[in-house]
Amino acid sequence: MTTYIIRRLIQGVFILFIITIAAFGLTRKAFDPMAQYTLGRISAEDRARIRANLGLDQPIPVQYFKWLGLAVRGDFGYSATNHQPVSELIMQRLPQTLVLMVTSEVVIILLSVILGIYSAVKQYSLFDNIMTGLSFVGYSLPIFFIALMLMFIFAVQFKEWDLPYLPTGADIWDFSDPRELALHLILPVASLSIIQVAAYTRYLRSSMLEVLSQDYIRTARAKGLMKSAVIMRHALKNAALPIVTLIGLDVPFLLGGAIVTETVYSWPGMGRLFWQQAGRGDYPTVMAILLLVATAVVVFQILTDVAYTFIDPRIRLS
Amino acid sequence: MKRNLFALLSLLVLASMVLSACGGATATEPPAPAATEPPAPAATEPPATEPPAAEPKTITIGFQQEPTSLYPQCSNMTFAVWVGQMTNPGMWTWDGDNQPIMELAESMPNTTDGTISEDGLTYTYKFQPDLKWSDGEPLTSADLKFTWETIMNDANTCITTRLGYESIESIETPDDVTAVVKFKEFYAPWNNLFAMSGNSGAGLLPKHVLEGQTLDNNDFLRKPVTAGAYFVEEWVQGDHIALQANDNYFRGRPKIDTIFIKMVPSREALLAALQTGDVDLGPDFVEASIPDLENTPGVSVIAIAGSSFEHYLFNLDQDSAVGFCPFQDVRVRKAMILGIDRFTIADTLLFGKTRVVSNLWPNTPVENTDLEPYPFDAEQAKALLDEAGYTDTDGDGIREGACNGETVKLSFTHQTTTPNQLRADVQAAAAQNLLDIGIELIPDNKSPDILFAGFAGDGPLATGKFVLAGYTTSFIPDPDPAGSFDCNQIPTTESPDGANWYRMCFPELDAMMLEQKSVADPTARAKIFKEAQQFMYDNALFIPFYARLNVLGVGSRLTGLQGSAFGDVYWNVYDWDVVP
Repeated sequence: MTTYIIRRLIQGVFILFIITIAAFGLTRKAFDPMAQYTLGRISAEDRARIRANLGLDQPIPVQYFKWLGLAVRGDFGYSATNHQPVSELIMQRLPQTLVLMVTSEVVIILLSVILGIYSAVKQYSLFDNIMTGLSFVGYSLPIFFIALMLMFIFAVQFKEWDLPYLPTGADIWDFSDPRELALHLILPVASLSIIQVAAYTRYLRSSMLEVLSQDYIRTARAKGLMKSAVIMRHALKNAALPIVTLIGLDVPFLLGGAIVTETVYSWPGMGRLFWQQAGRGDYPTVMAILLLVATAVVVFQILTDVAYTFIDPRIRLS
Repeated sequence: MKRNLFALLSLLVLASMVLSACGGATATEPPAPAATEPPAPAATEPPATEPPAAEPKTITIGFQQEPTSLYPQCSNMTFAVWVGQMTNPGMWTWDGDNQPIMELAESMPNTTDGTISEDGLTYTYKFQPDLKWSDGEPLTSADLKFTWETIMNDANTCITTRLGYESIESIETPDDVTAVVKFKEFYAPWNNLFAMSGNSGAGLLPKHVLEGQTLDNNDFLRKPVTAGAYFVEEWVQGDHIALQANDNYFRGRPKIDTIFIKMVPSREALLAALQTGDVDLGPDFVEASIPDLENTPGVSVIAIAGSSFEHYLFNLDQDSAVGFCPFQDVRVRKAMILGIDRFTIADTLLFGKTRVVSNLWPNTPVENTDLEPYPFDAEQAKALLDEAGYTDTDGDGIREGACNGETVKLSFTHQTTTPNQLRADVQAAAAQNLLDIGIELIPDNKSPDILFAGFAGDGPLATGKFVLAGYTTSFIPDPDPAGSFDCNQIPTTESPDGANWYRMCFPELDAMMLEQKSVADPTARAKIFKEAQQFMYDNALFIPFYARLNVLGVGSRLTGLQGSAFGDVYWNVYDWDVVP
């Protein structure tokens, strides 16, 4: 197993190298840091001076290797727009993003597991049918619509109706106050969860149904085990494999944040940072975030594969 | 091992159930109203001379974009200038009537008292006495000199533009309240330098803080020491900027104690926040938002018709391989202006909140107000087209005629930016009007990055690959159009940075544009601009539409706001107040 992990890690470094080349080429092609200086009254001399200061007068391969040389040493350079270290910009946003995304992921997993199991155990019951219907509705709604709708109902209208209301996120609040944090998390977490729960519930329900019809479940029931023990101990463990795969794919993107939800709820996260700096052509920041997420993807792929062996002993890594 | 794993899994499931139960409880718990209250001002604030009112006055402004820096010369964002206007005054600024008002200066240099030299190259700046920075240190003429040195220092790579500052030869400071600025060459818009207004963000820099340092990667860009009504207390990047009232402000402590600037990137969320009262002021809405803002309870709308204007430009290149031959005929151009009902467009699509303009300097001191916009007169337009020799000979409803020996149909594309609902609506209305007089306008809209791409990027405007185009621009705070109409500024492969996208070349206009650059007296200079506008009007050189609106949503508590010609409201932040 150790050899396997080492081999995967070496492969991972190679993959990351390829990713940085592609990302750098695309980022530099798609976002021009000079674009923001086109209009307005920036003289040709000033433009040339700014270009040279940003190192944009050199060929792109040279720019890439300069960037890579620093990046491998953990130095992501300075933001092309903000004149401060990229790492500073990212570290300001990372905690906020993780709080929002990890809370959402936990809610998503818990709700999906509970609803998925219940739907599978009570197949074709009223509850199951309602859940199936709601899943389709939830899965088909775009996130910006869900987020704005929740804000309109629970923040704007509830206040109008003199009911207890939730904040819009556009207020000034203290991130370190747990009570305020909880209140400000409710709507964005709900927005992020609705679509994912709808999807994961379906996955878990179908894999549970498959497992529940297996012979060993009937055996477990026949030997008189409690129903809950059968479901939790025997069925869920086998049904969880597809969900673990999905979570393994999800987790790295928690670092990247959620552009739409963060935008609607004024949440100072990584998604917004990425989107904002991309629009401004700040390629050092964009590249750092891409590399961060890409590294997480590679690492979590390996971790997911290792996790399989724990959940399903039939799987051997070699 | 197996047993352990089972135990762990069961524990996880159990924990999950407990946690989810907790989660449910949190979700249904009603929030206390206190949660939306802003935090109290920091305890480190120096005590005011008299005890402040029981409740500090606080407002929140919602910015849709976050500034890249809080020193506007190191950011080319309007949002940075807005913060600058509240925190960092220059020598003077311009008020709601576009008249200069003195800030750090006692008076503006002028020719009558000799503070502008005869040759127009030496300017004597007089400061108000006893000025102080927000940290209590004295502000003197040495800070002005230091500001110029900082802008010109190559080590400060963040400086976006040196325009004008590079024309300065030297600055001398005979005493603390006098600075003598000598120019190498005459620079007509000299009064934009060291000025903080809605369009140019050059407040002064404190020498005692920054001496020996560079601006790049300096925390000063995030927490500057300034001399304005407010100072930056903290900037939580991505979230908010907190501004505190400055006790050392030369006009005295402003009425509102704390101004929070919250980053609210979504326009819809900003509207919701205005309605709930989370935000008191939301700038940078678009014209199309006016009905939404008006229909939102507790929110009023300020629509400031500024000096930015929307206009359609003809490709006037004399080479018919580049330009559109019929546009060389003034009768065709005039017919198109007369043929579009710009008045109905302003009344309906812009909700009657702006006016149709006749020239390219609306709401500025040099505007030629004698010029009435051409009326909407389809009959006169048709007559002019008939006279120019363009008639519908083949019965398809579109006129054609001979131009340069070839038959040309009056059917062409119009390029403007997309997505932009207002522009698309105006375009549709104009196309219908023009069709009624026998001219076909075919929409060919492009995203701004394509339309405005430079010459090297093959941008249609820069390279002249358009027939009729439409966009917004402005000539403020200085009226100098920076070569936009000069013959030698038509972009070519040799001079790709040329500013004359109209591709027009009229020697009379050229001469006027050259002359205005060498006149120091503002009245004499304005006269030249008014003559130039008359020339452009008589020759129908473009289709001016309307003065663009700067739309702001204002909550019911905030009072004292007054728009400037630059479309912003921040110049008199010291007069703002909140009503209970």
